Amino acid sequence: MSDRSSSLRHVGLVFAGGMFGAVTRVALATWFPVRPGSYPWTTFGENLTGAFLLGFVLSFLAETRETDPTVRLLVGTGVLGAFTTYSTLAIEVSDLLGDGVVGTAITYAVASVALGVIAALLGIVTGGSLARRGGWAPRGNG
Amino acid sequence: VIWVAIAVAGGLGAASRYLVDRLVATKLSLVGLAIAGR
Repeated sequence: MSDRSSSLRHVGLVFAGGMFGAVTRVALATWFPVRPGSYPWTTFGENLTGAFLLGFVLSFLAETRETDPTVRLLVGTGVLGAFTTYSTLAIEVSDLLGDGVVGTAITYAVASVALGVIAALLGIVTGGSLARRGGWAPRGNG
Repeated sequence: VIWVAIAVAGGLGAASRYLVDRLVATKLSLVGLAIAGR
């Protein structure tokens, strides 16, 4: 496959994954709307879930020595990139501040970042562990 | 129609971010090579 067609395929994978991730995120936001001034649990849950899954996928692929970028681009960059949202987090924190619920705004911002890191670490540990225990990782690894 | 628009927008957003990431990575590599070549 030439570099050009390979690049197009990669962009196509990210595009396809992005379509799925965005629709899933908006569907969840529609089914579980956030009331003004209340804690944005939907975005919070989406970002933490996305952080966990991204850590899981990348760790699993690293542990299995996967060199084909298909899954990473489709699921990692595409689906999870569109499913998680930093911009909505920023807008919601801004809205909460505007509504005068400063404590909720600060809690939401700090918890999103701190728990997001913890969720990603949990995903990394779980993904790596599953790859090793499931026999997907090459022998003599780690 | 709105869901199709959301899907297309999501795909475009993800793809454009990927392309920008790649562009930046390429530029940084070129800068790195230029520094290393000094």
